[in-house]
Amino acid sequence: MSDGLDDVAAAVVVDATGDAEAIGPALRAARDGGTVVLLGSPRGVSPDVPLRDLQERRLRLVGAHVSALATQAKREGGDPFGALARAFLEGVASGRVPAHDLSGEATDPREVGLMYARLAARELDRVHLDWTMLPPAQRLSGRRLLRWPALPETTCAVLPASPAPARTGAGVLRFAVLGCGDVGDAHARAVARARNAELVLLADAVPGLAEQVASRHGGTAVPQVEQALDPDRVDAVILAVPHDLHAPLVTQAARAGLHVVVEKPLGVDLRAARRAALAAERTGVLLSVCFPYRYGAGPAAARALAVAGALGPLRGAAVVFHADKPASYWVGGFSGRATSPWRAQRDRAGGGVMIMNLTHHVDLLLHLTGAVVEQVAAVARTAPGQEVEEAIAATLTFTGGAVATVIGSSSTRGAPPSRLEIWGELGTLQLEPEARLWTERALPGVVPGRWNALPEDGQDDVRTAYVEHFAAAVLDGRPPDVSAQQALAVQAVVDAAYRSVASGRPEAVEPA
Amino acid sequence: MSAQQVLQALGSSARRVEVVGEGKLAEEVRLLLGAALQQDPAAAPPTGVVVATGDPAAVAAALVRVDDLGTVVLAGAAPREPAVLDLYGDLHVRGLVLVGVPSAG
Repeated sequence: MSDGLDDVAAAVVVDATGDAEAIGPALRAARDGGTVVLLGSPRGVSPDVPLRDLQERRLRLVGAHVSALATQAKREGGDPFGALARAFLEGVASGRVPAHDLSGEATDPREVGLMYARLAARELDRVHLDWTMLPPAQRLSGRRLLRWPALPETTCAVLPASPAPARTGAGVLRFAVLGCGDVGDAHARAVARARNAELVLLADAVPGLAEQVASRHGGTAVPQVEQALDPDRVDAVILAVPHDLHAPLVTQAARAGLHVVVEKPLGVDLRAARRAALAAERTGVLLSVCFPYRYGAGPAAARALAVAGALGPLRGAAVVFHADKPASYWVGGFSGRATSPWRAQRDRAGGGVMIMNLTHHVDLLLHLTGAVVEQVAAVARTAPGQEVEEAIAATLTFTGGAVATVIGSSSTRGAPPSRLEIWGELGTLQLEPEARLWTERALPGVVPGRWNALPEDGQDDVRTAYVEHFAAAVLDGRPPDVSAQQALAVQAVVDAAYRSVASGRPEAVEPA
Repeated sequence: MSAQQVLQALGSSARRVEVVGEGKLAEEVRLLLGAALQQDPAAAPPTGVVVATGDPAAVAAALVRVDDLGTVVLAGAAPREPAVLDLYGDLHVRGLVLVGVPSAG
């Protein structure tokens, strides 16, 4: 059966395959007296070069390699490379050399690895490198064809370390803080530091706590919760109370017309969280959950890069969290300023390390990837005599097939550094223990194919940044960055994990 | 086929030419080359080699011997067997030309 090659009868055949055995078909495709240009570098020995055909059909086989131009220049002088390049470009410019059908998709030269991967996967059949995509400092100039400009010795920082609130309106939001334990103290400090917030009222059921915090950060301590939820004196309230009080107090504050920030989680369980969200929706107040780590410089830069496509389609993620909580934590928090067993009580806390700590990591996973968790399979360890888990291992399955492991422990002696890694088809993001990114994409401030350090910052100001952003949202009349819906999505993952622990089976994540 | 056609096939490589073969065509080409005929194997690499033996191995050897950017002409009896050639090292990189002049030409 004929393959048609003998009928091609081309005056010139350019063999650009690089295949040592393509010489036979190439000669057959040429007409008698024609020329075959060996352009692709054939790797290996050609076992069947049909010399008889070549001779009898008056064919010319011409080797074409750029190094031959250097040989020519050495012998004859001049600039044969430049002459050829000029002739080619003039041909393209005049239309004598039609190149538009060969050019294909423009590719950033820094993404050449990705380009070849796509060609190999047959996602592309033609492509060209657009050198104008390179920043001027990385472009070659003159005849320095073999000298690559020096790459940065150190990895590069990507985005500013302290994102300013995206606010347009003026004014100051007046806050009350309910709950003046360790986290309430941190919130009060954040409000006091925020440029668009004022710490006005503080309350706690434990006598003396609110006064302590007021003496440190300002504001007035009041003895009753109802006094702190005074819409004439404050615009918003921050709830830093035991988890079982979140939903009831959100409802109470919303009815008073106050905007609400809840220390994570939104509710003691998913049902309570839904009640809280519904109360805010019905009264028209803004409701947000404090996930402050989003505002760290590293996560903020990572989010911008992820949105720009640095990771590509999500493939997986891994979280390992360690804490070494002393026995005293379970009856008095880290500081012991107030004594209460609620953290160790299932009906008051909702759970252990998953709801107490890993909610931050789950929020970061969802925030950075925009992915949706469909199913969770989890196992947990609860110490004898305890009600809440001290360790949990959960496997998350995302829509689209990506998977993640989320492992946490509140009783890891020595508490080694935690880990948070997310990877996709095109890149890998690591936030802990180092904040860095590897991507095949050429994005502003990033060197493709290398690890790029993301900006680092301390943890002190992320809560202040959160408060400033929330206040700006209220003052501007727009939704908060961390919406109730996003907080519900996190809570739904936590809920599925606890249901899986109880059932011993993978559990679907309920709609938020 | 004529010796003149062989010279035409050599083109600009007809400056320092080695001829492989002992037949009538080979002799005519040698005569036609005159001063361009290279007879000293120890001299500089030839710019052209005419292979008039019909031997594939002689073609492979000529590609190795000829100077960079040079030309190898197949003339006389055509090789009966295909050749085993390293087209990358012996032709592509060095910018050589391998051209056939048919025996019936």
